[in-house]
Amino acid sequence: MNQSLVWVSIIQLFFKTLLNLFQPSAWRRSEIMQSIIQSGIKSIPIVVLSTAFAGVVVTQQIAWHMDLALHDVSMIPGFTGQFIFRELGIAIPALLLVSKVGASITAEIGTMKVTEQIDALKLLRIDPVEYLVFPRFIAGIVSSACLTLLAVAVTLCCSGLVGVLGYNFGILEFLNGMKHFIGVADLACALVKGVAFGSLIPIISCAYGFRCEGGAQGVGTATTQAVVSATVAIIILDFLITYLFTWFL
Amino acid sequence: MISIKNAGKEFQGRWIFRNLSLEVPEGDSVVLIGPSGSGKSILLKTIAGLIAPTEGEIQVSSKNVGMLFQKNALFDSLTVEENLLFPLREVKKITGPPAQEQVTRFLEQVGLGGCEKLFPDEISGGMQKRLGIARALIVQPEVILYDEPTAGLDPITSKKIAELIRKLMKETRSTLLTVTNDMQRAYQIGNQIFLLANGKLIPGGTPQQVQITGDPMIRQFIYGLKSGPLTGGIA
Amino acid sequence: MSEKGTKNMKLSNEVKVGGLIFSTGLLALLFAWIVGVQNPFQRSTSFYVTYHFAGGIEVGSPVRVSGIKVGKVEKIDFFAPVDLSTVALQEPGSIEILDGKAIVPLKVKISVRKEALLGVRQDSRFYINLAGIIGERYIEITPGHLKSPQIQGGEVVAGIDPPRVDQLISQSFDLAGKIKDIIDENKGDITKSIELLYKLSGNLNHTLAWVDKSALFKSDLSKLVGNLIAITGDVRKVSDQIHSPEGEKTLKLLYQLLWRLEPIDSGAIKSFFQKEGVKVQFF
Repeated sequence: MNQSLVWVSIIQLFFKTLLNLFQPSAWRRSEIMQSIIQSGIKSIPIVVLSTAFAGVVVTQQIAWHMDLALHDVSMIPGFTGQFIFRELGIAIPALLLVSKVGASITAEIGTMKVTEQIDALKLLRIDPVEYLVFPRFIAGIVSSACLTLLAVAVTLCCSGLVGVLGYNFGILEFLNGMKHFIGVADLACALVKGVAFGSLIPIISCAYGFRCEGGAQGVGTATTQAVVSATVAIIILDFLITYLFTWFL
Repeated sequence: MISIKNAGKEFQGRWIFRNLSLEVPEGDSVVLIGPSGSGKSILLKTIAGLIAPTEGEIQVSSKNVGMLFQKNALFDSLTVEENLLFPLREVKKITGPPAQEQVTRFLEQVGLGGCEKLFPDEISGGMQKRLGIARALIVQPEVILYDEPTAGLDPITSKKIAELIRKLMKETRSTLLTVTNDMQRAYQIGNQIFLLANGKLIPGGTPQQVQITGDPMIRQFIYGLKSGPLTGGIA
Repeated sequence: MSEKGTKNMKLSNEVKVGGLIFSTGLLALLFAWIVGVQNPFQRSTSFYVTYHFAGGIEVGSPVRVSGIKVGKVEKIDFFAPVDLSTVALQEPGSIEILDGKAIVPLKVKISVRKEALLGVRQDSRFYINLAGIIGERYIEITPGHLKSPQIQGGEVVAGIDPPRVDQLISQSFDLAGKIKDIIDENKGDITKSIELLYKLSGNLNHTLAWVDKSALFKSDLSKLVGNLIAITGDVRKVSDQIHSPEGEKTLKLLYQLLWRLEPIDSGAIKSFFQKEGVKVQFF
């Protein structure tokens, strides 16, 4: 598959999906709900588990380095809080969503493509973008925004736990130390990233699914490519959003 | 009515077919035969409007086209029943008890009564074909396209399905275009038989005429000869 | 392509999704509270405080009245024209007058909650302060007298600049340099003075001892003279000590110390302050 052509089709698909926002018939409630269950609620366990461990590891690491370099660990809440709010609590759920939700979307749409189910939809005069992409798009945004906040909360809790149990911080002391380093812009940045990643994943995954050719192998190839592209896209977008936020705020 | 005038389809620099013309009158049944890869399915999809022709003109009298896909294309995340309820809701805007009543009637007709709550992968290949036919017909299309309706089925099931297609055609007075390589079913379903080979459409006439045709291509195809114009004379 | 369920399941789907959205909404509110978003329905008033130097205040820095956080810095304007009457005359040279208005280097817009505004009056003082282990900067407002008029929204008042530690240090370096120069230039004079003092006190002591012995002065004066002898004896001791090798050494050390200070140029001072600044930030 020609990579630049893929990105053209991804951008086209994005705008086609956006057009559906203003079309009341596209808001299929049961499909959107089902999609949120699939991409959001069923991802909660893996997101909670991964981010919990990430919070512990990162706090330990930062504490170790601070102790080594500064002989002082009083900055743990501030540093971990900022790191979690700006990167860790956002990137981990996004990448998990890519591998869990993105891959399944590509595989599902790809299978529908190679088994002519997409053609069957078109024959019924149902727009596949409206019926298949739009609910996943909305669900992706909602799920990702929710999971991002959840992940940040879990990571912070575990980080706080390490601080309280391992480094003799009081809970309020920890919260207070964090407060000095985290601002409204960080919260806004986290939400913007959550929404951006949540909209990006279904679009990329669906675009690869629609381009699927052949049989099972085609679906497998498309799924791999979708996961790789979405991961790279998320990392680049992460940089861009962070850059814009530090530039304007 | 289906009317194709000088249609051609190019795919990655190769013409699948070109200058192809075909008329299927209202209420008639035409069968297309041809070797694999001759572009029968692509022609069918072009008629269905799923693929745009590269050149030429294709007219279908009604926008309400039903199609049975080669691989059935059943919605595998929906149950048998929902596979029929879904087109009714989306195309005909029929929901609730009237829809349920229609679905039950159609499932009875194709012999799938009692399978309502099963998923497509839980029923046999013949049942899937019949469900595919039911889904194509439930929106009451005026033009129906069948792509290999009996491929991969045993002869008895094939015959039953061909009878079903014929019966439903009479009931709904629809126009039929069927693609098949099963000659027995072609004779059973079609009023007219055409051969699509090497990008050209060769008329073979009625089933009776086809069986005694002098056309070397059709002869080679229907009798499965190893050498002939279709294989370029090479054994 | 997903309606496997019956009506019951659809309902529970919606309940689940609703639960997810509701609970993350609560999380968002919690985070908003942690990061210090103020209640948008809270009524607050904004006014302006001018500074020449703000010592690290930034947008979002807290504002306290009597030590309680009641607001934050909303905006910082540079070189804003304000009424002359509100400008604190701290560094007269730094104020430019343009069209009858003073151009102040900094005009800081701060918002303060309505109930705390009661104590913010014309004679309140607006300090910039440093708090906590991480050195967060904030504006401290001392409550004014009740007789003084309350500050109104949009009003401009003069703030009190925080001490310029950087200037202080560079000035003290100047001072040290001057002391060194004086000692350097007058080294001979100082030594001579000490010698003279030594001789003088020796003579004086001698004279006084003679006076003491003479019967003529054996009167009331004797007590006074006795004291004088003691004093001159002490002075002699001191100048004697300075004259001693130890005294010479002390002088030399002082001299060396000042001489060493000389090569510390402004760059070194600057880097010293950056380091100290980092420490101030962190601890």
